[in-house]
Amino acid sequence: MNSASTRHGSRARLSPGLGTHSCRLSEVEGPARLASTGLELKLLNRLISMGLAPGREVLVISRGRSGVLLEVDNSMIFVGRGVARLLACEVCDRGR
Amino acid sequence: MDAKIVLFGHPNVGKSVLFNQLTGLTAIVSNYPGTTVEVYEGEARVEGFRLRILDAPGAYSLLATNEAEDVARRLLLEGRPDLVVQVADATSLRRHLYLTLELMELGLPLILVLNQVDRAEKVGIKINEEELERVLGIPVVLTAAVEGRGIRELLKTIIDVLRSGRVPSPPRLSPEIEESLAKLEDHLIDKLSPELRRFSRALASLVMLGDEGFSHLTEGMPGEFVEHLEKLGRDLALARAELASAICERVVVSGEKALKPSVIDRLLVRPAAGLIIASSIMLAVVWSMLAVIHEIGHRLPSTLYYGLYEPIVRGSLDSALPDGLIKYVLIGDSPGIYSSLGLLTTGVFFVFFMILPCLFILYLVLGVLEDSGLLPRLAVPFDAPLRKMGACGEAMCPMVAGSGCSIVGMFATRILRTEKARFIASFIQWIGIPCMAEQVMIWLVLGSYGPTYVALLYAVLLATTIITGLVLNALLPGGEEPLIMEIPPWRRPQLKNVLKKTVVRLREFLLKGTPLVLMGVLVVNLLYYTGLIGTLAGFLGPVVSGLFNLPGHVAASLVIGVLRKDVAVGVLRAVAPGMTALQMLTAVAVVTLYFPCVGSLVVTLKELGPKRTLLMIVIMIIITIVVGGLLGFLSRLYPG
Repeated sequence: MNSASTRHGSRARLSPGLGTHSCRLSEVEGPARLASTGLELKLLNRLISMGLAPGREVLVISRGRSGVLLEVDNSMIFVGRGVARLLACEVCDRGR
Repeated sequence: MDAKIVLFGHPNVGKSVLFNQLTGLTAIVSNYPGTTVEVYEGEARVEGFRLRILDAPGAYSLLATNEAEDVARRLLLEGRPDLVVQVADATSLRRHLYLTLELMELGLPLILVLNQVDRAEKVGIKINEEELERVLGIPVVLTAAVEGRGIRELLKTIIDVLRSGRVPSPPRLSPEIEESLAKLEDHLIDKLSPELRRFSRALASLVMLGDEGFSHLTEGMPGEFVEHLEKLGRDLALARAELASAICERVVVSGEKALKPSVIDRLLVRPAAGLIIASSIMLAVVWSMLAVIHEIGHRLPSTLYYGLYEPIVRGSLDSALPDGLIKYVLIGDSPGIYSSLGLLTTGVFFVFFMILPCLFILYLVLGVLEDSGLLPRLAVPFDAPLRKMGACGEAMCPMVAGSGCSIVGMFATRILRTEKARFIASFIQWIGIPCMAEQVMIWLVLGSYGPTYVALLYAVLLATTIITGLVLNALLPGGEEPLIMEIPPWRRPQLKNVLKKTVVRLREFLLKGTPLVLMGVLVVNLLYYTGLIGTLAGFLGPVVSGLFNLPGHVAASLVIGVLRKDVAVGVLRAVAPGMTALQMLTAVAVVTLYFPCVGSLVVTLKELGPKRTLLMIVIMIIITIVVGGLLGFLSRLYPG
């Protein structure tokens, strides 16, 4: 079971056994899995080269009007709100 | 035997630290992406090899998205390297393997260095390097460059690879992608120059991924194939990412969490809180530095200069030299620091008693800020306001670097992704951010009227920058790129590194800045000696006196400002004594705004081209007339 403390960003993984639902990255705080979407190729390339490939698990550390701050593979990446709104992801039903 | 080696990798993974370890040189190392935007070159001699080592700017991918990444890529495609050393962060291998797979397509000998292995070990991350070597087919070396660990092994591996000349095979992806890549390669091969032909597969990948720099290569291809390219590019990018992930699963045993976001990190994404935090930190830093500089500016002249240096120099030369040009040039004809204008009096005072001690403090603080990881964090809260001015949050790093020296700041704008953002960020540096040496002079010259006037000057510069930015954003064409930015971990600044950077920067000032400072003092001195100052004042009088309400002799400062702005501000008290506080504020604002210094002008010409540079100069002159005119009007209203 996913017992992530989403407010404080403790280590958490999406549990495959739990129900998940899709939403936008800008709406999430806590663990999420990036989903494949119809992003334009240029943006997709940039995201992938920085480690934000579809299917990758990320942890949204904090979100606000500027965008989201997330952790992926032990690195912290800021994604502006415009892009965070475009990025689809899957979260556990409890992780939203 | 000579061999050319390129250090390549993501920004902020320790390439420059590794470069320093391999070559014994001192490339500036900081904790923010984009510290290196130029190519540094050094040398190492090992086992009969003369290794020319090049430290490339950081790049996330071969698909260049800014000038710095383009410089790095050109180093590989056009620089004829014998070997590429990819430097990756051992704590986040998965993110770096994508670039490894891209580099493997180049068909150049390749070594993968997993740096910061000390950090990885600390958090229990284990990497099976033998398995990684086997899967990738390239040598893998673990290093902790800061400690010098793994450097000997790396040099040995470099020699082995150079001797064997072994080249990695490109990673094999799905049959459909491979078939399309081969087809595209066939189309491209005849269009490529002989030099680029060896990279035909890598270039086919880049074309497929939609690289704008190579889009012309699709001309003449069947229309339906070109239309299909975008889908193929998407498949290629996703397949590579999946492969990188699969390799990582095989070779890495995850440890604990290596990243510990702070409260500040969490608040950054909230615009109001982020801006308040960032601005408070910057203000606290600036005002504490101001206090230190104020102390230096008052104590050094009275103790060391007047107490020791001047009696010796003036005392001996005054009686030894006959009256005439040489004596006038060396020590002037009056004893005051500002009024003497001699090379050995005012010139030496400016360089050694005023600018250097203050720069030492300022560079120390800048070094601490750079190494702590604070600078890239400023990009987040400042992104929205800067976008309204046509720039973006990433422009904060070049702008803070530009507060040291605008030449460095101009180069650093290479990390920005649009021409418009580069233009506006460069322009902001020209008008809104005086270099540190000039700031030292501002604090000392204008600060002598009270700190309020220094604050007023900054307010004038800030307001001018904001208004100009808003106008330029509305007028200039060009889109914007979203902010996606890696935030480095917080690090405790290492005193050794901060001191090393400070020494490198001070040496740079001594070698390149000091001759110009002395030349500036010499020019003013000669203007007085020859009486040309009167002619100049008469010529520029209608603007300087009529519009700005300043004494005509301030024209001398404007002439010097082209050489060095710090000297131009420094001599204001000498050329126009008795100015009121508002007049001094006007004079300093005009000197800061009207024209860039020669160093900054040359770099801007090189980086942005003559057309844009000329446009910037025209806008600057208009701004100076408006702002200087307004301040001049105020100084007439309040003559006291």
